[in-house]
Amino acid sequence: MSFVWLAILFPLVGAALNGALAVAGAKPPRWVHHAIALAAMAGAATVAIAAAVVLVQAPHEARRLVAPAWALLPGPGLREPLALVVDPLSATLFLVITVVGALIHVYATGYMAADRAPARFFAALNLFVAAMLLLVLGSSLVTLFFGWEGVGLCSWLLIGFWYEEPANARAAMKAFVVNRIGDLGLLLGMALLAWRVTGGALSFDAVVATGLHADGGALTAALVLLVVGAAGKSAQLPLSIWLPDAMAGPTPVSALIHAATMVTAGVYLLARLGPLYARAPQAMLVVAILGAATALWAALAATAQSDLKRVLAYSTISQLGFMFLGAGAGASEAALFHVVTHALFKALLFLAAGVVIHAVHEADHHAGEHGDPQALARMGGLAAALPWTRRAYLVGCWAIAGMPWAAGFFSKDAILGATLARHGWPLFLVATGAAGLTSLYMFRSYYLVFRARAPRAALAAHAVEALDKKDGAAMRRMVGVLVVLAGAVLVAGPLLGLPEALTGRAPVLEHWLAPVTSAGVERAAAPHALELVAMGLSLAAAVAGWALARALWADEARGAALRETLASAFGRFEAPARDGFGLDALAARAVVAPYRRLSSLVAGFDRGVVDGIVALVAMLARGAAWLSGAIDRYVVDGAVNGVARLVVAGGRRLRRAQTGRVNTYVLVVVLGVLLLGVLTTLGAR
Amino acid sequence: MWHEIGLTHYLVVAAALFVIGLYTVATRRNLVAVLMGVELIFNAAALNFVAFSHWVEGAVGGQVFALFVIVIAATEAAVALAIVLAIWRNFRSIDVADTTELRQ
Amino acid sequence: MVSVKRIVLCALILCGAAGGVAEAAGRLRVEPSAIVLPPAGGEARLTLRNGGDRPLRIARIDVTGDQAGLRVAPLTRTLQPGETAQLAVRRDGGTTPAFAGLRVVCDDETLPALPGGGPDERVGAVAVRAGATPLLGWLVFLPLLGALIILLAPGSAERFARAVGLAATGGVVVLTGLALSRFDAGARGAQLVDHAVWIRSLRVEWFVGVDGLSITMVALTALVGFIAALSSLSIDKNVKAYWALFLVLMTGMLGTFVALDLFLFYVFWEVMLLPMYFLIGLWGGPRKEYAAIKFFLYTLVGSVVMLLGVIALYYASPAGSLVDGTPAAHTFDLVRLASEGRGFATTPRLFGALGFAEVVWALFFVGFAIKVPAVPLHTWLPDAHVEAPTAISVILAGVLLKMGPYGLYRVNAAVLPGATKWAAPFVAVVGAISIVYGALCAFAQKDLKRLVAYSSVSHMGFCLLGLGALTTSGWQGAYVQLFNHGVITSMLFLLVGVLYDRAHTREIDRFGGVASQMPRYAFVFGLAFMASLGLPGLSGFIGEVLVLLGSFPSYRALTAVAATGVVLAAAYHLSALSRVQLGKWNAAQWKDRAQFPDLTAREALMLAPLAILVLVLGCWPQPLIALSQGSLGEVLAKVAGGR
Repeated sequence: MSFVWLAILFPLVGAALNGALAVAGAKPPRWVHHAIALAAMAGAATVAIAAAVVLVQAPHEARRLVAPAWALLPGPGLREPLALVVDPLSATLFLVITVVGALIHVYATGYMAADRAPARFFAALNLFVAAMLLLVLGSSLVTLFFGWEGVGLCSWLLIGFWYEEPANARAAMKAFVVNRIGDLGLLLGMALLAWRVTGGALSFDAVVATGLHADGGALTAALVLLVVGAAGKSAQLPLSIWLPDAMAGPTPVSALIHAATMVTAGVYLLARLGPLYARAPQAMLVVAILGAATALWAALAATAQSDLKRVLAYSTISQLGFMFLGAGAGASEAALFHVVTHALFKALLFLAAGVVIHAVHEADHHAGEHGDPQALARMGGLAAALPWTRRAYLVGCWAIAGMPWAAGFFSKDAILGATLARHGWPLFLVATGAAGLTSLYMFRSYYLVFRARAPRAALAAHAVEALDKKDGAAMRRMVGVLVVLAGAVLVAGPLLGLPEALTGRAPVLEHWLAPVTSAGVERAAAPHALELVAMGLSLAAAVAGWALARALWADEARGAALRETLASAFGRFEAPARDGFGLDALAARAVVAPYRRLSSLVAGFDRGVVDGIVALVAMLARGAAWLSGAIDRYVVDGAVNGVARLVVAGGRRLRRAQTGRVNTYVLVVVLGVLLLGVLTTLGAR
Repeated sequence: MWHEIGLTHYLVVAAALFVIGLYTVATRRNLVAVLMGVELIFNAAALNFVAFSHWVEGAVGGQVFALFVIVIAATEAAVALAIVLAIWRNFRSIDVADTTELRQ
Repeated sequence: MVSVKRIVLCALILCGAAGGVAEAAGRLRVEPSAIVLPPAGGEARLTLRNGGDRPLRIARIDVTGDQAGLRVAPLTRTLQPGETAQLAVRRDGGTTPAFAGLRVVCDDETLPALPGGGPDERVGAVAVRAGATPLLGWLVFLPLLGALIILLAPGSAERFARAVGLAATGGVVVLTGLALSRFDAGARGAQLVDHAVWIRSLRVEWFVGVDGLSITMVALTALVGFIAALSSLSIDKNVKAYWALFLVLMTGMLGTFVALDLFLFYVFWEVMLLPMYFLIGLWGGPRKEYAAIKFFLYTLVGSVVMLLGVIALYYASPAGSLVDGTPAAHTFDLVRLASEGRGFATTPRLFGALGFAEVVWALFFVGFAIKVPAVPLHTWLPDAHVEAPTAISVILAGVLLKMGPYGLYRVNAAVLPGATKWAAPFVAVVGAISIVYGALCAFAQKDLKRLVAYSSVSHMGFCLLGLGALTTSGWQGAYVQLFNHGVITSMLFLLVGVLYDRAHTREIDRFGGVASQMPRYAFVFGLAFMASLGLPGLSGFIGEVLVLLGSFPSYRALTAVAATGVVLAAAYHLSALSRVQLGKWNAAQWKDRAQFPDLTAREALMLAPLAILVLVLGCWPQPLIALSQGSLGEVLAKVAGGR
């Protein structure tokens, strides 16, 4: 079954080709880059569909394709084969990544039609897809980690794509570092699993198999650590600060990476280890609370955003919170359903936003203004100029708000139902509140962009005409993708996820995923009554949100009074909410600044103290050398000179015996003779 | 001891003579006076010899030695006076202090 | 003046080549003094002659060493003065080199006594070599030969020196390839062995061989050496002297990795010091003298402490014989010290709980830790790196830093396993501290080269942590990290050098937006920095993940602390990368963009093999791990077993 590797190989080759063109500085016609990238994506999508077909034809319990390669870590010790596994879970994401990814690639050929560096862009985009597929199809935690970091790298490359702007580079670095903090948890969780649970193996099969019988404490701790990792990648509190800033990248990047695929990697990990979470209720509770809190927090923040893409960014964080909530409520399948639907409608929303931004940018260009093309305040009146975009965006809002029929409805309700069943009312109410807010802020954005606004409308119409003239094919490609995605959004929901309460059978996707995400776990199905209650309440919240949004923003003039009252009531929350309730500032104050200080302190310590000790030792050595020299000069040499001086002084004294006088000499002779005589006599005696 | 002139008396006189001669040699500045001192020392030695010769039975060597001493003294006086004359001719003085060319 | 120098040099060489001490003229004369048999087996004849004036009684012929397949005809005779006797020595063919010693037991009183023998039993030793290859000898001394050729060249001979330098380092690469092709990863023990007596009076032998770990290190040295030689082509003052010193340094490095005799190991270790001093001190940056003397004295202090350990081990070593059979009361043979030393653990306690083995371990550890470099013995490194020329930085970081952990394996772990187990927690703690400390310091640096230097401190901390973990994965990770770090850090220093060549500054804040001017450079720069921060898919990750996963079972909290190094590394690497490569071009500093051409062909040629290794070994570390696993496993088993 090694053909599965082609799905990774195609985008890798595409990335290598485009990358080589970029590095070599060659400048072939633009369509060459597009062709390479799209061919790679088409190849990957084909493989995905083929794999899915093979899987579908297999019996329900035995849906598994294994594609081994070589031994990544050959052991002894840690042994990690490099292999891909296609089972229902990975096949689902396989399809989403490749198909949605292909569509976004097509869109990107239009969106980036005027960019100066298409080779680098498409190389990075293809590389991203390759890494994401490695993440999703990997058979072990280590292979997943390879893909995990790979998508992080590509995210860094693409957020900072327009790197000449320092803010973009900063945003890219922020994303990478915050992800790395999560990866710390992931690594430690892997280490704990390898040590206490699986005894060295880190393949998913081994982890799940041994984890089901493992010691609860170690398992819970490891799972919580893995949640930290997942939270980093999926932008949950408090590691969510990177996602809003990541909007600095081009819109297709935001759509692909920061909405549809990379950020859902965390949810994928949770779903993959779903059976284990079922055995560790504390871990599940942590996940659920984290998800609900993030969902609410992000929804509140989204309501106050003034930048279109940031609304969508916070909305993504919020939806990811929902997915975490679903995983934490034991409904991994529901969470994954939401992943699929979210990929579709969020990509749709982002791509539509991209068209809008394009149009506003062009309008600015015409009017000679230089404002922020993403600012909501400067939008409006685009309904007539961009009819299909408006419809697409509306479908997207309908879906994300959880309105009936569209994709988000079923997935969100499944999650809410599971939450209610498992964790009770408090979390459910928080989540429902978040759902209501979702509807509110999404329709707010819809109305702000597309409501009637006479002066802007004319500008917008001119702008769209100009765009059509400049590169009509690009515009058509972009809008075409929007239409396809909108269709998918409308169809996906009922196709995949009609709940049991309505049909009497398990939802299609749930049934499809169950062997993987619920292996060996007894699932207590939520009582139908509770499900219907949840459905009703969430629907009510969604409708309420929409109604409020309509009242406030659908018509600039009519809603003014209501806006005033709300502003006076909630106005003081607006600024903090826009800044994500100060989380960014807190991170800067509590983490970045102290780290800088600590780093300077340590470096200064190194230079002053540690190196100072070395310098001190050197000084002592020099002092000892000086001392030794002094001893040598004054003591040793002094002794030598002293002896000489002594001799000279002695000689001078002795010289006085030589008087030159006869008397003295005669006297000395006589005395000497006497002495001799006395001595001889004494000696003889 | 005091009731008879014995050997001791002679030895004492000889010693006295010796010391006086030595003192003269050591301190006088006149070369001729130094020579006189030397003569005194000779005579002290001769006296010692004679005294021992007399009081020791059968010892005749002392008297012989005294004769030797007299001869040597005479010889020495002759030579020494000749030197003194030479000194007088060179230094124009016979003061010991003026003839210290060998001083260090 | 030049010719006098040359004559003196030649004289010194000849004296040196004259080698060992002349045999004392006794009655026993043996022709030839050493037997070389072909690998396929064969026969040789020894002639024993009585060259004295009294009869010589030969009692018997003993054999020591590799005796397998060796057959010696018995001989018991009394030789009259001038008489000769023939001795046949036969060996069957074998695949591995064999080194044996023939002991002619006779009564020549000028010869050393037979241990455990009677008063009249003396030993005349004859070496028997079968199938030995001088490949490693050529490998080690080819650069030295090149250095001598350069020194003997007349005039300034710049082009000649460069050509010889490149040829010598290229030759080393070729010989290394040859050695690798002959190396069998599955076999136990040392391979490509060469064993002969060198200084008989000191019991020192020329004993070289490679096992899995040393051959990876030799390969690294050969590769990095060649690339550094390419980088050295830009040196333009005192070119002859530079290349001569560089080649001597190569010999020292290669010799250290293949030496299996402790004294030889120490000699080669010292040989590395002096050329390095001059290379930094003469061709370096503004503070080159300070950096050079600091490096030299710091490392020398470590070497002196190590010397104490060498001498201590020697005098505590078990008795045996040299390779040619000469009886020896002590030995420097590392293989025998490891296998017969029993960890030196049975000698009495010296200071409190510290026994002989622990004290000697600590002595060696000080010397090796300075080279690693382990915090707090690391402060020589930033200065040495910043002031050294690019090629020397590459050698310093790529090879010299590897000597520390290599020494810890070859001496500390193999010879003193019990003490290594005792000290393992300490080593792990030092490693973890180095990881975090190095990362913290790196973040605050303003000079790009200093930042990379501190990143080396941090990366080598992983080696120590893995070493202290005493698990298979930990050790695998540590020594994989050793090789990979050598490759990656060489790339980093080359890249810094590329920028410095153009800008003549390394201050990070003065750059910005370099990627827009030098895109190819930016690509390789990004690759190297990503590899250095441990991105999976590039080789730096393999070592780190093996170490972290491998040391977690042994030290949980410590590994958690060390794992934060993963985040800290991302911080400083990306910070530097962003500030240098991204953002707007700093036009205020650099008005003339033509000053910054993209990578030249030579620079690309230097970086390409390293980049390829980084990419390949990131996804497929199998060959690296397979090479070193056998020897690592053996030593680890001894250490973990506590003996």
